[in-house]
Amino acid sequence: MGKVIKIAIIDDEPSILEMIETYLHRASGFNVSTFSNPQSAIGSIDASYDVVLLDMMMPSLSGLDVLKVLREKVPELVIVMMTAYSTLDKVLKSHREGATHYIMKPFSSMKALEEKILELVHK
Amino acid sequence: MKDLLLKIKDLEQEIEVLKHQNRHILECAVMEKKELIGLVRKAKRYFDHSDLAYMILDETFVIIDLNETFLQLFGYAKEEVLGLHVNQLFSSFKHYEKWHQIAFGEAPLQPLSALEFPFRTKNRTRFWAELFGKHFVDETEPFSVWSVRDVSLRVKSRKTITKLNLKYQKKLRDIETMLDIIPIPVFIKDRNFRYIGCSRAFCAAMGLDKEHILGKTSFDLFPLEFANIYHEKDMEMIENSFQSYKITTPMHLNPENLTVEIQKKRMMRNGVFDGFVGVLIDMTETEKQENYLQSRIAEEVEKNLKIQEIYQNERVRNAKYSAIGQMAAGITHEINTPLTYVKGNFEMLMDDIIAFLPDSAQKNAMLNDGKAIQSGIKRIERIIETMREVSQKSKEQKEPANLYELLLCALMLCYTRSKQIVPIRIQDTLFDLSLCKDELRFTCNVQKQRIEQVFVIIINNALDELIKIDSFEKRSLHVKIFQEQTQIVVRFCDNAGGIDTLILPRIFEPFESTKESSGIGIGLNIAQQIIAQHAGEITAYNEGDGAVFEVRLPILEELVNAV
Repeated sequence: MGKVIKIAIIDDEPSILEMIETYLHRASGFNVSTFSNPQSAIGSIDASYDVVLLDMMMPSLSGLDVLKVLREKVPELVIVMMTAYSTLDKVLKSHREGATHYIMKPFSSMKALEEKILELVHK
Repeated sequence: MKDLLLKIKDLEQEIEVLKHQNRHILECAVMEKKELIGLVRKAKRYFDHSDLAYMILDETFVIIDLNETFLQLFGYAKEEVLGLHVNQLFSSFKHYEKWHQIAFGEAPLQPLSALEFPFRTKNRTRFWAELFGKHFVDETEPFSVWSVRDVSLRVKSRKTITKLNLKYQKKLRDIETMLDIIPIPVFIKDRNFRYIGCSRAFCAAMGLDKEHILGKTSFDLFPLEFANIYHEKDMEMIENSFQSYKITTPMHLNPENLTVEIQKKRMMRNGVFDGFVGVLIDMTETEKQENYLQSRIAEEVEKNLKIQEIYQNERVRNAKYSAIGQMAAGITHEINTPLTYVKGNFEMLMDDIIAFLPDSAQKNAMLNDGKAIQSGIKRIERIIETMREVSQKSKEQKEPANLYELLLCALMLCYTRSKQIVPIRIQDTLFDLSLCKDELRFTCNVQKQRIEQVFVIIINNALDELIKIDSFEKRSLHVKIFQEQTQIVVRFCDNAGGIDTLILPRIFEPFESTKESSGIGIGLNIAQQIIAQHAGEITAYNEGDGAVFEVRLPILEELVNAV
């Protein structure tokens, strides 16, 4: 457990970015980067990242589009989709495009979110 | 002397007178003889030049005289015939014997007329002759006079006519046989509109024997009012080559009136009207069927109008739901976003309070208030989640869904009612609200709410039937879901006695409901349409002591490949 987990959070909602960043940084000492603009996220995220939390619904570029690009760019990256409005076909599409996991907003708890991330990274 | 001389003179005078008288007598006799010879010649001339051939036979039937016409007719010279026995003239001895029997049999002295026999000329040509004969007795010698007239032409014509008649009679018999074979009523009328032929089927339709029909007119066979109609129609045939009309008519001895179509075809002979052939086509059945069809069509139209109205309402309702659904989706997303960070941040706040504040009454109060806030947040979350579900189900688009989950939802929706009617078993497990929706997975691409509706319709139908059975324990409803090749099958079996076999073939047609109380009888029709829109099948059949409804939907192949 020597290595610090490097995580990127992509969401158009600053309050959500700030909250997750605070929690993960404070509680687990994650190295957190936040992106409210999906375009800049695509440019910045590389193989040095362990995990990406990616919102499905963003105004400029959809979560699925970002997912496609990132999966191509960094094939082994753990990508967790987040959505405030879920349907089964969205889940299926995400799986098809290579998402590692899928979480619903609101999170059942912040702790559960953290545990899930740890589980996925150490798998 | 003088006297003597006088006497001599007188005598001389007397002699003179006598001489004169004698001369006169002689002259007269000569004259008479001349006249007689003339008469004989005349008679001979007339005899010879008669247009009839004559022969005179003696009592042994030997020809003793004949005339010129006779010689011409038979081609003999006079000396060849005189002395010839008459049997030589007949074409055969048999004919001669026959003639002999007639001519000299029962009443030998009566004149005989119009006897026809075949004769033979000298050069063996056969011809028919007509004989007239008369017997005479001249001074003790009996003889007979016969006239002979060539009637070959007449006999031949007569024979031809007889032959033709036979031929026509045979043809007529053939036609009659043919008429009888035809299984439909056919009749033939002559130019005077008398029946001259008819088929057995016609007799049967009329309820009369053929001999009671042939030779009769419509007036003999039908009541006056109908006979008048028929006669009028018959008269039209003089002008028209074809006729067809419909009439409802009483048939003789037939209790029921028949509706028939009568078709007639005119017959012509040498350009003149010569009757017609008619056919009766029984339209009673056709008429009945037509009426039935008409009423069925009217019924169907009415049904369709009702259905259209119902579907129209349904569409309006769907449009409403779909608008509400879209709104709910938007609200769900919009509220969930702030709810996420409210919830997350509040969790962090609570963690901080626990971690950093020293234990005190205030800290406890804060934690209590915090828990109240958290439970409020949870409640909002649940409401939003429910809204999300509703909005998703009301979507008109198909999406991948777990049929097992939809089936459980449908059973839950019916549970309030079903728990009082029947214990429902799903996959052989007794159904209750605690069953987990994710326990089984059968994914199809469907409109969730629609499929749920189909299940509810089938379950409610079963409940409507099951309730008729006396006790709760005796009723059963088994539901099974399984995969069969590329289809997911959902099967509902009840034990409510099955579907009426009369209704079964049309069970999915609208308004075929056996139910008088429950609604409009369109449920299964809607179910069928929904399943058809999903490229699936819905079938119903009876098995054991109940009905089986089976819904088949294509499995989502994409999913099979993805997982």
